[in-house]
Amino acid sequence: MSPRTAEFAPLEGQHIMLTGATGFVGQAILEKLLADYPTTRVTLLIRPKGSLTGQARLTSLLRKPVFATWRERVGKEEVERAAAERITVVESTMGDVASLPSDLDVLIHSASTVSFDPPIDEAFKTNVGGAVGLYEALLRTGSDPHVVHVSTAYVGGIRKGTTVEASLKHSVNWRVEMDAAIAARAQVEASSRRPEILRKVIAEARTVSGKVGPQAVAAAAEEGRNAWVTARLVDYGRVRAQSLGWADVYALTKSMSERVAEELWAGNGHRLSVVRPAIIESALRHPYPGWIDGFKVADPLIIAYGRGLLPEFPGLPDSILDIIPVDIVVNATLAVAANPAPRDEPKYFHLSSGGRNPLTFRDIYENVLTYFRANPIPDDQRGHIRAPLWAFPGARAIARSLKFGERSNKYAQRALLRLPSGKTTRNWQRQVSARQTDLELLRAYSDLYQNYTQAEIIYDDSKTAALNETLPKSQLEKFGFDATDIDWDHYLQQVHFPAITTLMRTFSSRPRAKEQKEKPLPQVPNVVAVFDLEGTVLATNIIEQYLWVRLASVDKSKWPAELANLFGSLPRYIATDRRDRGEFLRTFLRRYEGVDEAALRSLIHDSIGDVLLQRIRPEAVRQIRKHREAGHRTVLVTGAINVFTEPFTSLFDEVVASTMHSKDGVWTGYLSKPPLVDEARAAWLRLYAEREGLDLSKSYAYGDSHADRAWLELVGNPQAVNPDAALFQHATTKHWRIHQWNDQARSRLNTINELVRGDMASTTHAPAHTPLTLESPKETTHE
Amino acid sequence: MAAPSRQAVRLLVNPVVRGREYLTELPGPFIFVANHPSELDAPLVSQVLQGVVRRVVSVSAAPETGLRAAAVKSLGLRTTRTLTSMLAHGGSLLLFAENYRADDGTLTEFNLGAARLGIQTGVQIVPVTLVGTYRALPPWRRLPETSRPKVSVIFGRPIQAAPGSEPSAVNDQIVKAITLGLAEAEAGWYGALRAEAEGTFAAVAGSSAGSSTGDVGDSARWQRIWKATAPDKSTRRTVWVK
Amino acid sequence: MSRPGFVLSVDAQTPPLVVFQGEKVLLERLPSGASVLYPPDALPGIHQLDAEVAHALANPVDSEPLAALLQRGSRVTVVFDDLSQPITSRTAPDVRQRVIEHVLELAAAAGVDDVELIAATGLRRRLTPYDLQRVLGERVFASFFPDQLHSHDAEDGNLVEVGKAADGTPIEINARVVSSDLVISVRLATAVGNEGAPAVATKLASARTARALTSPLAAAAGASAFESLVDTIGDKATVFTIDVTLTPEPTGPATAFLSKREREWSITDRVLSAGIQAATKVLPSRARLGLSQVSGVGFGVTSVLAGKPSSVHPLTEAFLAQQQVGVVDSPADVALFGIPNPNGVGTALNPVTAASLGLGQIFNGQAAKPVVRAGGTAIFYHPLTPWFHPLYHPAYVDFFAEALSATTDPAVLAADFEGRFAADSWYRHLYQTSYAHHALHPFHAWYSAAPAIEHLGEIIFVGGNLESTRRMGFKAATTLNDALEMASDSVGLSPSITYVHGAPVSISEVS
Repeated sequence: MSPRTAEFAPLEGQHIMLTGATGFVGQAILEKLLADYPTTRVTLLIRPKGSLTGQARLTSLLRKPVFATWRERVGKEEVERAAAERITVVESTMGDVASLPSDLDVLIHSASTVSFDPPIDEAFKTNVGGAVGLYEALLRTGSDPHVVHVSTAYVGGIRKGTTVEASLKHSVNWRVEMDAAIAARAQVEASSRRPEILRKVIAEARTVSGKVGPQAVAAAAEEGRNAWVTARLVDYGRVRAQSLGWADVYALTKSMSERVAEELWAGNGHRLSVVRPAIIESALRHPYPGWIDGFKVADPLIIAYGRGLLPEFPGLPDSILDIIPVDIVVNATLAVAANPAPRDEPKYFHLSSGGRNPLTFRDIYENVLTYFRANPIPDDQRGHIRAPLWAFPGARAIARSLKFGERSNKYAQRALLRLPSGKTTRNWQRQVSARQTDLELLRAYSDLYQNYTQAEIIYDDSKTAALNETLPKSQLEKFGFDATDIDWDHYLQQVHFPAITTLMRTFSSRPRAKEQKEKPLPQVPNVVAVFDLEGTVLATNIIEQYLWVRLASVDKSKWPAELANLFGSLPRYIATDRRDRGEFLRTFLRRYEGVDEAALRSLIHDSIGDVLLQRIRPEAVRQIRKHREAGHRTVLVTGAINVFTEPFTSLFDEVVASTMHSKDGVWTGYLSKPPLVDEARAAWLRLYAEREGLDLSKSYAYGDSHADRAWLELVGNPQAVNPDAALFQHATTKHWRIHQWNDQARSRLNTINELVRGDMASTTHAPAHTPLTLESPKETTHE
Repeated sequence: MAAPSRQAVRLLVNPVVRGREYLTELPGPFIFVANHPSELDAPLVSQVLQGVVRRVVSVSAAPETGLRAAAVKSLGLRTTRTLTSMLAHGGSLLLFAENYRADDGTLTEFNLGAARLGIQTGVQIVPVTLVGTYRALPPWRRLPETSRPKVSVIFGRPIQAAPGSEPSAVNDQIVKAITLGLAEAEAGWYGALRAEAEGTFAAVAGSSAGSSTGDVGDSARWQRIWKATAPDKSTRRTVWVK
Repeated sequence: MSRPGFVLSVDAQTPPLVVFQGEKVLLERLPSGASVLYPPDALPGIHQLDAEVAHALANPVDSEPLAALLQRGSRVTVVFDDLSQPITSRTAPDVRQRVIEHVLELAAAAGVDDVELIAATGLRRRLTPYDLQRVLGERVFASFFPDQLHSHDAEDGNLVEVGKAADGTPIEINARVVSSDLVISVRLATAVGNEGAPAVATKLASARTARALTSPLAAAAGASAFESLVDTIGDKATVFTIDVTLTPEPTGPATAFLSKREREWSITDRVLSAGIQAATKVLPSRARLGLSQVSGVGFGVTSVLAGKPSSVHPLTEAFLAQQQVGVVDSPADVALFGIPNPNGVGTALNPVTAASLGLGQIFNGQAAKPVVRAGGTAIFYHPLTPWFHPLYHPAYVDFFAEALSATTDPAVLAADFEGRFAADSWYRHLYQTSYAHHALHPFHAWYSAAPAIEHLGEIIFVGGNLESTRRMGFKAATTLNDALEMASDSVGLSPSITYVHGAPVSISEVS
């Protein structure tokens, strides 16, 4: 083809259609067309999303930072004018393309999936099915635009050596693969409903949400099944791609879509050009240095390094990471669009840097090291993260240490879930979760980058270079796309790293939790504050209370036997409690068979009540009284027996506790009603609110264990108090308020000691003399 | 039966002691005069006085039988002279002054020898009341029960006998103090004091006091022993009734 | 007679001196030139307490013998002081038990049946049955508990008005006391100025009266309102007082060395001291509290006087004055005090009580005049851990968290917070049914420290918890040198320093 001489006016007055305008490259192309190709008209294919029409999405698209420079340059009115006059929107989805305009000169197809490892059916539907739909629609219009098909360099598959710019040589039948992929979903869905799979999923759900209640388990089970389906389909995709020689299903489907383009478009006598960019990263110059829209392939690696998460990297120092700035890709694509290929000979262009200006991992590492040593990322304490030094030990060593780290973390997590909740364990929990995230990240990167770094492919881009040569010298600044132009050190340290670290700070900056000042509670009528007893208001549990009563009512000599008895049954109770709290309560309260209720009440009044009062949390009392002052109704709900709540009845407006069934004043050991725990409590709360006319969405609830989730979720202001591990996780996810109420910890031995003293003193007084009622013999006595 | 050893007493019996503080402030020695319901008494009192008073030697006024009696008589262990010299050396005496021992542990007539000794030597006489020892170690047992029976040792205020006072008057004082101790176990401390002031001991402390003028024959022997060995009412509240 | 107190001048040869810091015992080197005030050696306790008590009751001052005052059928109330320390060494019975047993024996002999015993707790917590048993002994306890033996209830609705204060506040006193014929009051005194008001009725008043008379907003009505209630209360009741003076006594050989002068320590003492030092470093805090039990201080009885209150009190005061420390020439710029923990099992002082205990030393300590000049600095040793007894101190917890964090000015506290606390039904419930101090108790403790805070320029706590110290308006330092550095702003770089050796004597309001 002949280079244009005389005036340089590429794409003059042409009507260009662009798919994927909302994507990274698409945005950049649109911007370039609007800014530097002023005579062009653009049609965009935008899929409506939710309630947003395509037009609405365009409006919000034009507000993005990529258009900022242009907007500044020409002014707001010009932008709006351009949007109104030069852009048309066709609302349609890829699979079902409506009629396209028939006067297109160029079609740039850059729409594709976003992630590398989608489920296989989604990958095929979007990348392959989308291309099919598009080309078929285009054929239907009967027009003959030059199509620029944006693919990816990695369609070459996993191979060694130089790859040239030519059509792919493989014999994979895209139709067959596509049908198989679509069918895979139905198969996997059916398979997921098999009892074996469902049983596993249910068991998993039960371990997590079992204590909350059956509904929660069901919900979690269905979620688990869906997760299983997705994971399986992702697996289908990855493994199929690998079996055919591609790194992942993205590369596989992109190569399939190239075939589609060749078959449907070029094969029908139309003009086709294919551009294959490598890893696209932030802009070198246009619209402004460092413009990027979200993190791209290489960025997580860089960030992870800067955050000190990657102690080592699984790659060879001399392997090449092929990075290309997005404005070079845009310029190249548009240059390709302006130079159509001949009708029966599709043209292929590699947009990469590895051929003539390679960037090795060692280069990247050195730049990253320099940059992050000079500009370390602040960590969330007060210091800065120190970027580690890499020694590149090789993939296998990395894999080993990664596996070890994952396994030890998993054990730590499991162990923590079993420990009772406390401040230290919560800290550990937090650390372990954070480490879990980091390890997963590391694992993902290792897997991901393995393909990019183990591969020893070099993409030859001589055709692209030749195309660049055809540009007049004066226009190179604006329209050039020469990879050798890039000074990597400058690009990385001055352009790219600053861009992504700014992005990172925006994304992941967690504002330090400010000291929340104690605000008085809002005075709203018809609001209830529901408190759980054990573990929330009172720092004790049912077993301890039983122990106190027992020890106070038998002789000291029998204590060892009592303690042994209780401790012997403890494992059984703990296991039952883990299963179902209601069952645990029923089983444990059987021990109260044969108790004289009046005697127990007087015992609690004399001594045990004081012990209970000692265990009350002062902050809880303060909170209850705050609610009282604000006019809220305060309710205590507990599964414990009502006699044990005697000391605090005056704090609450209403106390709801279990009652024991009694016969002639003696307990039979059975409850008179099912205990109010977990979902039963939730049901009760709903009923209570309805009966009393209370507004649950403004109400408060305080609970401490994972099982309390069921009724905490009913109110508008749920609060977790000293939560156990599972509730802590849930609360942080849902952004509930978490309280740390300390008790003035008295050792358990002290408590028992005082209990005994108190009771002894009050019951061992000898027959007291009753002075006034003595039938006074003094009347009759001789004086 | 022979008395149980000191060790057995220490392990098996946990006595309630009252009035020991009267002794800590005064220099020894003392003449302890106690009632004698059971063989447990001597080792019990020695154990209670350990660390408070030096060297307590117990002597019984009741006639001993058999070999022991012969030994005592021959060695002249119960003569006034021996006892006085013991006191002069700083050792304290524990005298069981009842003339004979009732078979149900109640109080009987006191020998005047204790009073006389007190008047003669000028040593302070401390009345000691023992309550509950009959039940703890009845005559037919060798060792006290293992369930830690409740026994009380109550020391009265020391009596300083002026030289030349009447032995019977001093003896009355002693008996009154011991009776007060018995009443205390029944009716509480203040009740006993009030009863003493009113002279209503018979009404309040009737059962244990039993006068020497023989209510003895009124109820059958077995009834009296039955009553004396009635188990202590437990004052601990029972929560579990079944 | 005992050795009088003396003043040691610190120089290079002075060994490190014993300083109490809460549950720890430190050995501190004081800067050269500092003065150390040693209390006089403990007066010997009375050996024959029984005889002494019997003699006092038979020969009272300005009154008939007690046996004559007790009539058949009269209504007698025995009122006894409530200190939470065990009085006299741990093995012997409490002196109150001895005195009351004598009294009751006389009462029984006289034919009195209507006897009640009331613990004059004022606004302090009720005494638990265990406390009562320890104070009065098993015999008295068993005979009178629970109907005729209890603690004063300041919130009881049955308090009787016996008069009005100068500003019109009604003075309400315990009903039983007012309706008695004879009130026998057993008082304990440890130091000059520590007796409190001569009238026992101050500790038997209603909460309302106490609040009105102690509030800083009230005029200095204070104790003068009770002047008419010293010898008689109301129309009927005559008061017969039995005053017992106490002196600090080491409770055992293991801790005797702590009150001895360091120069005179024997080898054993040095070894024991080193042992305690090591132990306090190694042991966790709770065990250290147990250690303080071992290294605690008890009390011995030095005199017993009985009779008409207005006559007996001056005599007691004079007797106690013998225990004064040698007079200091002039008040110093800086005074140092060590504050130990009380003897309760596993208890520590809460920050407010510790601070008021320490500050009470400024005016009510062992010396006649304050040891530090107006505007000077007082340095205390106490960790001020924000620990509160869960049963006794619920009002303290809220006082510390809500009231003190808002303001430390007594006038503002009285105006804004006192009313709310006094009227709160939960605190009242806890005071009457459980064993909590009355809600006004923290306020009064704080007011009692106010004069000292006024008098002083700076108050620094060495080893104090930062947050608690700041909240109360004081400063915290880690070591003595840092504290002196902090104080140098107001007293200069070389101030005159006095260290008051030993444990504080005014311990009446503790725990």
